[in-house]
Amino acid sequence: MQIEIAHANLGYGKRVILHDVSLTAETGQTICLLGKNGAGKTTLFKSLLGILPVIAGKVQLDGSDISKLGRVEFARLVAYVPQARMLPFPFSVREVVLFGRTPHLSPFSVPGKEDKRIVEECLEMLHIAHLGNRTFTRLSGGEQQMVIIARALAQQPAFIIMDEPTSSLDFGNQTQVISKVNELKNQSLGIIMATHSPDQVFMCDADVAIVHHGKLWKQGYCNEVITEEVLREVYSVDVTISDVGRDSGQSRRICVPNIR
Amino acid sequence: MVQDKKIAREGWVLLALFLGLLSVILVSFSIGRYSLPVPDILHYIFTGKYNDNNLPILINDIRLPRILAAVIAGRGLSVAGAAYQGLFRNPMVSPDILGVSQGAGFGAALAILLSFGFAGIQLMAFVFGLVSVFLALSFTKIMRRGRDPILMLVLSGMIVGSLFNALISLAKFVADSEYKLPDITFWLMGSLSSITIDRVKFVFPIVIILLLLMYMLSWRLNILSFGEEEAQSLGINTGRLRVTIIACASLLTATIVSITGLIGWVGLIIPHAARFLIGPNHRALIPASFLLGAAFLLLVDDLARSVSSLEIPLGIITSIIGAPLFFVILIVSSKKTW
Repeated sequence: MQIEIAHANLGYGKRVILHDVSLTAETGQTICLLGKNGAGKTTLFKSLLGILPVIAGKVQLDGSDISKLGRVEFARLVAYVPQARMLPFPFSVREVVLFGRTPHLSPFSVPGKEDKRIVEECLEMLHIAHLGNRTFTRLSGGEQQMVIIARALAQQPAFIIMDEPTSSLDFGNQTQVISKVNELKNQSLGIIMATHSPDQVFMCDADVAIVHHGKLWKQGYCNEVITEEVLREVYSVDVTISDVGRDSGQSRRICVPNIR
Repeated sequence: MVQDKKIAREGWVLLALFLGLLSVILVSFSIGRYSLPVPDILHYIFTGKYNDNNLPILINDIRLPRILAAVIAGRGLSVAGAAYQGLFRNPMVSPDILGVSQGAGFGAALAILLSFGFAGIQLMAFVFGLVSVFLALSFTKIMRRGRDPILMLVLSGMIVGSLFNALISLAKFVADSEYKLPDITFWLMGSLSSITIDRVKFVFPIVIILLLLMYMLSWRLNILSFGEEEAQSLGINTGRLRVTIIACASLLTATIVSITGLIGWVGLIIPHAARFLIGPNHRALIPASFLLGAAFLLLVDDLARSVSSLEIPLGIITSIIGAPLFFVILIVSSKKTW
């Protein structure tokens, strides 16, 4: 499957934030979005999700326009993991994940045995089955993020769109989420993820799209696109990129900002 | 499995609430200026036989309409409150957030001013209740562009509510203080003392249909608490669902207020108490509010008609009981779930 945004102008009302955006994501692929705060990453996400209508151009899922697809059908194919936030009511973790089954239910029905089995599967897949009966609002930020990812999995989508999934997490949880992202990609899900850390793009060994100057400035495979010059241009900082762990066979690139 | 255990627990709580409501209903038949022994009532219900000649009249003509009305009003207001709290993602919301009560109050006041009969008062209260919701929704539509729709809805409700409050004051001001002013004031305090079986028959089917519809939508209501965009990404048509629920809850409130007058607090505190007992899942919360609200208002009405020789308006008692009860519920539930 593929989700494709072609020659689209994105923005609010008549105000265009991003011009002439073209991006294609396939299942089994991770695409990371980089760009500084306020560059328009969220705008791009909202357009991809069909929450924000495109001003010009179109967004297509396997060739069919998403604005004609209908919410339910779209939600069966594309799931969204927003940044962790407060919920007004103390739902349990199982209940929250069960809400991921909504697009598979008819309007007046409630989840059945099969849905509950899928929920258990998703919890186990993310190793959070032990949290099942806890109250969502009382979990730590990292745990909440895992639960929301489980909810996205319960939708059984082809694509998961994640908005800075590691933003409020500690070092350990960040690493865990990134490992999960890689695992999901290997299970042939398509993942589109916004991040603030170029390092994470290398960790995902992903394709990258850089939002800059009101457009998709550069895109391609991380090792080719993310260079010292590019990071200097986007973030206005001096960075050294080097390869580490060559000896242990776990070679990977890292970015080291030069602190004056 | 653990999930099943939780559902079983929900089932037990609902059963307990149902039995509780049945006993309250039974007690309510027995309480009154002329008290009837419970065994006699049961005997009459199951066999149709009686020794006391007053018993059938008291039960069928005097107490039944009133008990039915209290049950309908209690559950309707509570369910509307629970739905609104879920919809607005805010547990501090009550069913008259969109100005239904104030609108209905003005409708009734106007009808009394114009010397309409009972039916006229009821109709005017109903119509103006809906007018206020319609106004609030239209204001929201005009103001919302790019802004948080929930916040705009609440603000619009406040605007409409204050407007109708002012109009109520105006109606009171021009009313003659001998007859009409007391009538208006009394109506605004809420009471079931002038209820008849005909009026109950009129509202009963409307309320049942609306409650059923709300119950069918209750599971989806959960998902709205994640907010507009997240709910959409889960495949919910948020606009349509929200308007349906607002329409149901407002119709429900307007229908009830039109026969009872203004009864505060029920729609605010009962959903809290129910949430405390059964958890936040609306699929269980809506029926729990339904049962608990009915029992609560019935008890309050029992108090209203038995505490003194003069009937105390319902709205006064719900407020006197409601305020401290709400305080207690907030303290207890903050220790437990939040």
